[in-house]
Amino acid sequence: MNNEEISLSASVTFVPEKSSLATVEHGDIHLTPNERRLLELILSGKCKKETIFEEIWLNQGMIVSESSYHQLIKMLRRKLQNAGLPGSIIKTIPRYGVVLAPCETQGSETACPPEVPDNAPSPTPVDCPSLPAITAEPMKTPSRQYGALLTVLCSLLIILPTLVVVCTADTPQAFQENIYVDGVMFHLSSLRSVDRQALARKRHDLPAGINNVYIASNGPKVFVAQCEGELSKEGKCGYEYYSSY
Amino acid sequence: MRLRILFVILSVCISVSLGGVLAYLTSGYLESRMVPVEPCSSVIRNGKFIDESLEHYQFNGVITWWPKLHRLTLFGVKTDEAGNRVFNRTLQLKSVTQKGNVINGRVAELKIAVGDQLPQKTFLISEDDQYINLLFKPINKNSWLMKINDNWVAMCEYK
Repeated sequence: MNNEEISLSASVTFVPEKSSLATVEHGDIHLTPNERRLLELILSGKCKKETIFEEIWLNQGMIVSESSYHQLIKMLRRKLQNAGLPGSIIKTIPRYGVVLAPCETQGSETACPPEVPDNAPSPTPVDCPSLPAITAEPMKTPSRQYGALLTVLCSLLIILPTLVVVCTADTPQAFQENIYVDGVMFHLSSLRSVDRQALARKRHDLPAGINNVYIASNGPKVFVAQCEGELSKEGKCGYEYYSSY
Repeated sequence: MRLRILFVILSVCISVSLGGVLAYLTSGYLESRMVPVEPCSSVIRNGKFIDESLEHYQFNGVITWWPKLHRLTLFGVKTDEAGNRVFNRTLQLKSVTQKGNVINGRVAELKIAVGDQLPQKTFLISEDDQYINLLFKPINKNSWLMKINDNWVAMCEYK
């Protein structure tokens, strides 16, 4: 492959010397050495998967998996898209390799011409008169949309169970019942055997300044905290413990 | 296409597993916050109680729950008709389990300190080889309402 510029569309040119795609609207888009080599191979008509593997990796003594091949095609396709060409310009043919799509649109011309030896004259620039006009924004491919959807789904699946656990967590409250008696809040661990008259008497006997009373019982034993402020906020409290029977 | 479906299935499976593990860890964390994780004490002053012989007594002392040691310690003075008597006892628990805000165990050993002046058979919280249940209800991040079996209630605060 020589260093001649190859026009991919009216406004996109492949410049091998600079390893870039020169575009009118988006400026130069740099290609990595492998992307450049792949584009050169495709333009040269060396489109078979085995040939691409051989030319790009095996000749350099590298053994790579098929995912590297697909990744490279994907990256090149993305850069061509960024340059304003349609993603379909490089078409994957299962069990064969890749072809440059514009070739297919030109009547009886083959999608990818037969492979030619390296010493053959360099291929002619690909003419893509049927390509659509360059779009200003990069296109959204379906695979990107699927990827975004999958990311959202996976994130939900990771976060949702934790949210359910946090939201449904039942934190027991020490004093879950509240009764307001004449300016004093009585906080009770249970409403069972609550005697309002006894609370009113208790209220009457309270020293001045007490505004919260906490009462909890367990069997015969009773715990009472008389607080200026709230017990949970470490208000000033006096404690009383006794057996009721 | 098949590879993509496999990838989606794999991603979903990994996400579900991660979500499950995260939920399990969160649940464990929330559960651990329901009970004290460090020693907490109940200081009882002038507690007016009735013992198993239906005799009135006054209790001045401290009950401490040692969560990591699975141990309840009692220290103080019991005042009754016999006068003031010091008690200093430890209930060592075994087979301790926690479910929510309840800790259950069995009294493996009742250790009575040398200075303890109460008769050996005096029942304070529990006897040897008896089941014991501690129920904690949070008041704030440093204190809980602690209920022991069916006859003790006190506020337990971090030491």
